[in-house]
Amino acid sequence: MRRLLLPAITSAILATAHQFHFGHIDANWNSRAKTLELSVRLHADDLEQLLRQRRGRPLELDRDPQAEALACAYVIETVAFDQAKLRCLGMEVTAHFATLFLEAPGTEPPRRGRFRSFSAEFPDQINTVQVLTDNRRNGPAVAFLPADQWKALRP
Amino acid sequence: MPRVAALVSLALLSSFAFGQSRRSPLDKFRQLEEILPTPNEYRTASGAPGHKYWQQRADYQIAVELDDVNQRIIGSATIDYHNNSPDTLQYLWLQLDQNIWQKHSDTPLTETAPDMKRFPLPTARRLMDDPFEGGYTIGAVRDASGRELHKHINRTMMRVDLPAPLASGQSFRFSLSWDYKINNSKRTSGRTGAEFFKKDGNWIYEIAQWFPRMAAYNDVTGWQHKQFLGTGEFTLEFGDYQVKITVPNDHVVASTGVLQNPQEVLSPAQRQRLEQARTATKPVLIVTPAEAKAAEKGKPGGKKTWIFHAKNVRDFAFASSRKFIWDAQGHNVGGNQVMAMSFYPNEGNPLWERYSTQAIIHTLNIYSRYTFQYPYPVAISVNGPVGGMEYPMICFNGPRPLEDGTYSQRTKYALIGVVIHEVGHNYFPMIVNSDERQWTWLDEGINSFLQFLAEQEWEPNYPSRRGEPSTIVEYMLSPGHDPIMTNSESVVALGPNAYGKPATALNILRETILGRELFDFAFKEYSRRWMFKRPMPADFFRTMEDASGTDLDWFWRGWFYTNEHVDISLEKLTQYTIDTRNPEIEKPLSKKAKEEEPVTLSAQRNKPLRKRTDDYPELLDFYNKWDEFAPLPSEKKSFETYVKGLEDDERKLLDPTMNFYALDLKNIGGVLMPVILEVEFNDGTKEELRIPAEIWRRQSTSVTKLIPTRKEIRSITLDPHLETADADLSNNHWPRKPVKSKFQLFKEERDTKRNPMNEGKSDAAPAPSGNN
Repeated sequence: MRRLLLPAITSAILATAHQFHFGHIDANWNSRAKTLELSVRLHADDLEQLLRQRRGRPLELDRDPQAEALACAYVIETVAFDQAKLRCLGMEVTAHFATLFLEAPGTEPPRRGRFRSFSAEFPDQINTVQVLTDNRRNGPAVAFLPADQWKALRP
Repeated sequence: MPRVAALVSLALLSSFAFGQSRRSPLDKFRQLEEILPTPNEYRTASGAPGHKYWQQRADYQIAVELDDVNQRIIGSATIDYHNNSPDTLQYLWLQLDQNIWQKHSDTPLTETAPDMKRFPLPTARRLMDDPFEGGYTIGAVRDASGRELHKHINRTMMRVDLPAPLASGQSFRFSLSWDYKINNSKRTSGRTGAEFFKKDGNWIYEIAQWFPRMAAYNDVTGWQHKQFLGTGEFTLEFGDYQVKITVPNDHVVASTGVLQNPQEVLSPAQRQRLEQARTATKPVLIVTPAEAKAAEKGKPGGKKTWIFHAKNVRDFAFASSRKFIWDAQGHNVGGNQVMAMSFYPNEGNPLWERYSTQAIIHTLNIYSRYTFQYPYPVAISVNGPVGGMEYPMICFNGPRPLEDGTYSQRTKYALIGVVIHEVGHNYFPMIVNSDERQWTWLDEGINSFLQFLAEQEWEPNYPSRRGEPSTIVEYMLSPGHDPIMTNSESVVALGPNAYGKPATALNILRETILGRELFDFAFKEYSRRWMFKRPMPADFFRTMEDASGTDLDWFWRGWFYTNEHVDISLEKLTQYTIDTRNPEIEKPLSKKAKEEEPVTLSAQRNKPLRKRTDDYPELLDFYNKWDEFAPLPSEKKSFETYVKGLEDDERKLLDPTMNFYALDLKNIGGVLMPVILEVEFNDGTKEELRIPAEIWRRQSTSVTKLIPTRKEIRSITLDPHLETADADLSNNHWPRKPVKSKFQLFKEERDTKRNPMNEGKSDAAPAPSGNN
């Protein structure tokens, strides 16, 4: 089968001596509000470097007024749950972590997910999704390695 | 409320947790001897070097030229290899790390497919453009008499065949030459490289893993000739180095070792400033920002050769540029006078002039306290293209401000943190010479732990990345993640695996399992035993047990050999009180319990209905009037007889004010941990119970702990100080408490709390430096 490759507007983040390469999502199904609530935690260094390279000029995650919008766009590009239309509410940045908060209306807890942040950049990236219902864990987290696309989130 | 029926039962319950119905299939306290190597005369069962411990040695005399026009390294070396092993060697192996950039190197060949739906441009460039082709060109290898020796290059390793077997105790001298193209870090990054500054046309070079280095030969692996794929850094032999570095005559060189010819390469003013720096109380500029700026605009008028000597080091690295500012401050570390020095371009200011040398000195102070006195004469931090990498006496660190000279809080802490970390690597693995090609964690994990200790003494509430248990919880929850005991090249998510998780484990071992005094003694003993020697993981595990007098096999097993996580749940609390058999006490209690029973809905609705006995009171008899909770004379008499039959001390135990709480605990995560309980009583007082992990020794999945107390318990919190990396805080409370999610907290605070970093942007960001 012949498929077209679409080079993304991003640059590879070159390996450094001290890599992080781990992302985590708490995906909470709020049964009362019928809403999927996501807390997406990424390492701030990784995210800052990626956004800097995508934009092509310097960017500081905690000071740049465009950082939040760029980070939200990147997460929406690399994170998906069923057909949910994710809306980014904002980002919190600490010295080492960036946490993005997204939500989407729905009718039931997510069945499938996709978490590919940094999977194109780091061959040793590992991402995990913890599904919860009303803030209680539904089961063990689901891990996404760079080769993984959609995965079932519940049996 | 359940009542304890008899004194005999009570005695049993007090000494033994109940509810032990089923054992888990594997004893988590079983000893590690089934995994660890058998102790021998080289490495003892207590984790110390054995009485016949040996290690090889390699001394180097190197001459190297840095070609600033073509970005090349041209070098030659004479190596004296000392065979201190009991073995006779037929050949020698050397590491050729630059060969990872050869055209058919294993590193790109073994790279797996990228995300084909999002295809990063550099990936496309790497696959479609001409990739960087580096790697060594090795000239003839000759023995001391000039005779050429046969060599065979196996990717990143080179075997040199000896003209005659090298017996134990003998030395062999040989020489060789090489050259290679330096990688441009912007396109091909690594632990070494060159950075080009377009605006002034100059380069900064950070040169490491740059010469054919003797591979380690030891009692555990034989030759450590595992191929270099890019992640497993290296392990080498100690030796003395004499290195002559020829560079353009306007360059400033920072290097492992002590400069031998300052009169030839430094100006009189620089030499005078350097002398002044030795006793200064704050960093002294040897090359000022203005001088560095002027040098950027100049052209070299020739070459200069800087000569450095370094004693008893396992490697050698250097940096060179005409862009370097240079500051220095002498510092006494436990009697050893050390020159702390930083080299950075104007682009690094104002961050570097403020923090780098200060962070070096802080690191030496703190690390020396927990390990051994820093033994080397210099400690250097260099700003250039490498984000963070360590070599003996010198390290490369990346963070810089923006071009306008302002910097974020994140950048500030990134610089302080990376300088502490990389300078800290002098201790592990540059002096405690563990094998990072095999075990990344043995230096990175230990170093990240010490980095945490040093950061916490930098300023109040320093935002450390690693160390606090809560920072590793999400990684430990990830299914299928690698155990820490995984080879360096195979680890997925190296950062949390080899840095974060062991740093947290050691912090928990120090704070929660052993306590600071025992831990610090044992850790210092490990550092002392293996200073300038090569420890293996078993030596670390065994020394920590040996010196602390504590069996920690269960801890190493859970944290280092499995990928389980910590999640202990408070399942249930049941209150028991003593059955005194005294009807005067027991009957009223029974009555109270009866009255406290819930009234059913039907009973509530039926209560107002008029009853037949209201109309016909003659239907009421003895049973309608009898108070079942009134003590009967026979019961009183029976109790008196019972009490008479007891000894005095047994009579005292019939204490109706005593409560016995049976707390059901479940180990959901698998990793064993002490059970830390904060018990709050009805009178408002609190008590902390710290139960060792050995509570899980007979049953590692669920236990019941008995808590005897005269007070009534209102609530219990498990792990109240967040010290065990417990992954699920929602099951840490009795009675259960709702725990707010990060999402909820964000939504609640979003409109009321503003981001102080953005809010105070103009205040937080220092004004651009006047140095540019």
